[in-house]
Amino acid sequence: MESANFEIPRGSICAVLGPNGAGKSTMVKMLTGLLAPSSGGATVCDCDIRDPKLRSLVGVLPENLALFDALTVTEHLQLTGAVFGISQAETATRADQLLRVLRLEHGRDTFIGECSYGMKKKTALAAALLPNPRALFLDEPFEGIDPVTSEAIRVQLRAVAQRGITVLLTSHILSMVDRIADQIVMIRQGRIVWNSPIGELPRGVEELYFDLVESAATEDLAWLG
Amino acid sequence: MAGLTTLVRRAAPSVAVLRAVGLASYRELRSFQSITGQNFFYLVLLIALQPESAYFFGLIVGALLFFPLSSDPLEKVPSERRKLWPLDRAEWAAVRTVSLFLSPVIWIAGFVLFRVGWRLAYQLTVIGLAAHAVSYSFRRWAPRFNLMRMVPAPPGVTGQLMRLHWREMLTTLDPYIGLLLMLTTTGYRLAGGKLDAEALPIISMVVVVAISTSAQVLVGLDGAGAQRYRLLPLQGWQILLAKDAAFLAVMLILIAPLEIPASFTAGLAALTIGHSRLEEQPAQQRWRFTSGVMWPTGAFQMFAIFAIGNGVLKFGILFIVLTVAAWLISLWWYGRKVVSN
Repeated sequence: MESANFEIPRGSICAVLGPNGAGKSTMVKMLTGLLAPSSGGATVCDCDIRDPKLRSLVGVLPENLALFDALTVTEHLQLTGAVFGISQAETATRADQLLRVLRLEHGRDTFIGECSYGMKKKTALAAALLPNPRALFLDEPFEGIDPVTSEAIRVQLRAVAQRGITVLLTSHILSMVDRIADQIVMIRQGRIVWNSPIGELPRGVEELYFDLVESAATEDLAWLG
Repeated sequence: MAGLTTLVRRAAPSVAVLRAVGLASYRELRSFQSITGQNFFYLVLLIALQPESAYFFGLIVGALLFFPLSSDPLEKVPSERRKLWPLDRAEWAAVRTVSLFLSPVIWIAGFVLFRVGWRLAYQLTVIGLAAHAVSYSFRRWAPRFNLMRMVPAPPGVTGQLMRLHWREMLTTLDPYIGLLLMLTTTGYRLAGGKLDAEALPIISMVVVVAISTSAQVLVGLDGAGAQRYRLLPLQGWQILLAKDAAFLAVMLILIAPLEIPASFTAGLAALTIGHSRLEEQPAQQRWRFTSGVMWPTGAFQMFAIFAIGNGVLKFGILFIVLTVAAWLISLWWYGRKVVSN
């Protein structure tokens, strides 16, 4: 990342867009304390990103999901509840609701090592939401998720944002970004090339993305067909 | 000539599948190199200076390796992929037959056949087939059966972390060396066998050596999950304490019928030294021996296990107090590394 400078208003959803390797996940790692920036700084919910207290303020869906193969879906949520100081009964209630919303009830007793990618992603997302954080950092929350659950996640994120939780998410699914984000940040090669509220975009997200960030390869595979 | 060309062309898909299975088997075999990072392996080599003494320990290692080695080579091809490939029934039958010879158990049996004799080779093949049949039956008839579900989570903030570490330890081969040593020694004593007074503490310390390498890779056992520690609002020492407590509980079960004070203190020393590797935690594989480094960490661990174990036997409480103090300091000092960037 180079010279990144932006602010996300409380209670809004910021979508960070960019091709693979542009620096989106690096940005998420730095803003959540997973990676120390070599220079510069940032504050999240009035807390410096180097401050260990940040961990109790944010919910994170990391790029590699950071799940344990030897724990089940439910056990991940129990672990999260326990270390965030939530009572067992409250953890169980929240876990049940999250598993219902994310359509993961059928896999609640499955070991992560035996889960599909979508189930793992839903588990990591549930773990990020369970402690009721003040800010959410979601790296590719819709990738590998079925459309019905994607829509449920979108609705939930809009609802939590209205209740004052700030959300930063990265995504490749431009049509979803168009429907969820309040603010759009586009990154190319570690630099921010666009940052504005979605209402101030001169044209559609997809069109602007193809103009500013990358365009699709158009080579014809003549040997096919 | 034309017939040969047709045969080669017809066999090409089967040969391609077998080549892929062979490559996968070879790579899996290489994963058993993890044993060269295991403290117990070096202890056996040391004992092998007197070959007759090493026979028993070598047998234990061999017996444990036999289970993962006896897996069906063709299972390395995902079943969906097998169904998608355009091979007919006859071709699959040929692939199935030839693939058996890609099993390391068959190679070992072949080696034994030529070097030792047919009787042992035959026995090895039967044991290998039986081991495979047992694991296949479990997967086929009870796919949801998993003993790991029965591992309890102690109460408290880090109870789930302890359960996690127990499950991770129990899916490596290390604790089973200790278990076999403990069971054979206990069985021998129950059968009326006499052991020297010094023998039990020594065997107990050998059990500690058998699991000591996993004290070098406490976080490496977590794989990608290790990153989650940096997302949890816990102090590093709390995470490390949960892992150490899980390790010590397993160790206590293994040494309980043998000798406790000296070996338990020796185990604390192994953990203290193992903590120094927290910044380099290679991911560990399931159903293999854990793999750390022999020099200097493994060597220091083995030296400390026997030196401190004997110190406790001779001087008692002084060595226990010093070791506990060193362990507590390392818990605090190295705990910071678990959650640092």
